[in-house]
Amino acid sequence: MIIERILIALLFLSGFAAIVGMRNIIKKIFGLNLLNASVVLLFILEGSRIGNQAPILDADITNMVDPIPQALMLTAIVIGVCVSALSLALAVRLYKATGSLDIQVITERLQREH
Amino acid sequence: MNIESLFLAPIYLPLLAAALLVSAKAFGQAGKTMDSMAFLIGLILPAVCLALLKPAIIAHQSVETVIGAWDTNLGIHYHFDGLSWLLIALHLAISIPVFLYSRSNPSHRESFSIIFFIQCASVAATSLTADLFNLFVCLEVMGVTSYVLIASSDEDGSVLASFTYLLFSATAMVFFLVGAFGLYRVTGSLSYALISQVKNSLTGADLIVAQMSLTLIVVSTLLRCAVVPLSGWLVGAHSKAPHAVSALLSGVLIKIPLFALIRLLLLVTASERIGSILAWAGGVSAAVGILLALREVQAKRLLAYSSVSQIGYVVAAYGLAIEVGLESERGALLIASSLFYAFCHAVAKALLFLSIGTATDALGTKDLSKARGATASLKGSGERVPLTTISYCIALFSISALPPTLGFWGKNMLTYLAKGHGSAYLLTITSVLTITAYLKLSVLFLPSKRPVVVMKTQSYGAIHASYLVLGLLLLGGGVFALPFKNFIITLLLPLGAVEASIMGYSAYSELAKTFLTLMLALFLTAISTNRYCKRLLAKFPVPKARFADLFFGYALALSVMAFQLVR
Repeated sequence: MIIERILIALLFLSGFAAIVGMRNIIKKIFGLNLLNASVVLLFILEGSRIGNQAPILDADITNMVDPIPQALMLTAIVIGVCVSALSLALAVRLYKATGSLDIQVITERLQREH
Repeated sequence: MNIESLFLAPIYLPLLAAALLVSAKAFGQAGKTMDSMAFLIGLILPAVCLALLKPAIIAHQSVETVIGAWDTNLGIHYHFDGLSWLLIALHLAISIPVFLYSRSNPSHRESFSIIFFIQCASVAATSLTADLFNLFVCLEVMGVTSYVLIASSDEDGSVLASFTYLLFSATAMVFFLVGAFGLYRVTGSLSYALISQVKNSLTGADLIVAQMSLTLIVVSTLLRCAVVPLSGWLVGAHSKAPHAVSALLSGVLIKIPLFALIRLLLLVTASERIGSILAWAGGVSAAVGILLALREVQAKRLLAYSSVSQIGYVVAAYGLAIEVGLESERGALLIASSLFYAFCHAVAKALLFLSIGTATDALGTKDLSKARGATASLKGSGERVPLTTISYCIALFSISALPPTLGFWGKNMLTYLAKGHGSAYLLTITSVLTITAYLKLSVLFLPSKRPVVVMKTQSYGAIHASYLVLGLLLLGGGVFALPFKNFIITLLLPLGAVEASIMGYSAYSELAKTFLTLMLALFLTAISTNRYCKRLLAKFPVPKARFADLFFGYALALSVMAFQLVR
């Protein structure tokens, strides 16, 4: 379990670093997706602590995983997709308005026009 | 009227209105009629439902239920009580006039209304939910709709402001999820009721995990309330949005998450420590917000900074109430005055955004160093009765806490109750500076020597209707302030508050204080218009909300909160 946790933490940190450190807005959005994915994996890993079978109720299922994290993560994935779609749409509009994907260039160009 | 059959109406009626508009758009039937019908279903009917529910709420009936009749451990818990009623009423009181105003805008489209109604449903759901993961979902829906509404403005930079807010807030919501994960891990549940059952049996490492998780959840939620140091996103987002959206976001949406959080905070053991941080954060927000507003030269940005400052009052009283505990008389009064002031500020700020927005549109500029003569320009663009100017004056009186408006009662009661705590001094200084900042904004309406600029002519019917609703709320609220305050105290009793009345408080003795505040503010204004003083003010650095700075503020808030909790 410990190796999985370290890997998830690395995924989380790389996502966060991309959001804060990268200047390209598409890379920032990638970072947000990585961040989301790492939390989804964390929940799923946690749910699998108590069993190893899929939580689909059937007669011979005895050792199933905790179903709640899986249900929650389905919702979280849907929300993540919505946020990514919206942020990509905004990125397209920013690119059309300024001709750049670099956040500093975008800010400067918008301020100059102002 | 049966409370159980109606309490979900404020959630599903706006969703129904949104669905109606989506299908009308799909079948090519969208138009003014459909929009009006959606307005009736999505905003007026929920208001009627709230009116029907009022007797039950006054009798302290409440509903605690699991949606969809699931098992208590699995389902989503909803809790409808006086607090939810008040929050939904607050939202409707602003969103109805705001929607009317927005319809007067020629670029108002059905896609705007669809998102608007989904946001209404999410606000109602946030006020009802008693489940951590559901709170996450509601906040995300509220957030996504806000990003879209902000970006729907034609103004340059609105997309960038929306994008910045999106990225910051979406990242914070991932941290919220990590917090929810931590609490689920140590308590085995996500509903507030079940979390509170096991909270006292936590020890050692589990307790620390629970405290860290709570820190993540509280700070991520406070980000939506724009408390300093989490407020970097607000000014861009609220000043670039369409006027109607600015009014709604600044008026209501920054307060709903704060009050939704109270259900969780009342259950956890260390809430008084969180309360004391919030009390200070509120005072600091108030002072920092108004100082930044004072040196701002763009009308809508000044209003947005003032929102940071005014939410400080609400947060300070809220934090103090949690610190002293709602079971005490002072705590009960403080939480009531916090909600009361949230209401005062919501109405006043909505009216300010709408009137200043209309005025700057008529003038064609938002720059306070150049824009003059708004009343004449508005008259030129077809406004026969100068209601924009009158509304601005009423809102100005309310936000500056001058009688006979609602704000006079709200702000004075709040500062009276906060007396004795350090942040009360900050709040008193802020009261003076608020008047100075708004006097600076008022130059828009001064007569101009230059020829009148007329940008466009338009009809002012719907705009005036929205002004009337908000203006009458401020004036009528000023007349009936005491019954209104008692009504709020009564409705908040189920939270664990007690019957209370403000002893030794007389509004008439506050009149002298108000006069002194006003004189000080006029004196400061006279000084600050001085040439040398202007030069000195211009030397202060302007904060720029870059991504790294936003996250620095977030990290700062997290570490302060975590340090306080674990200490």
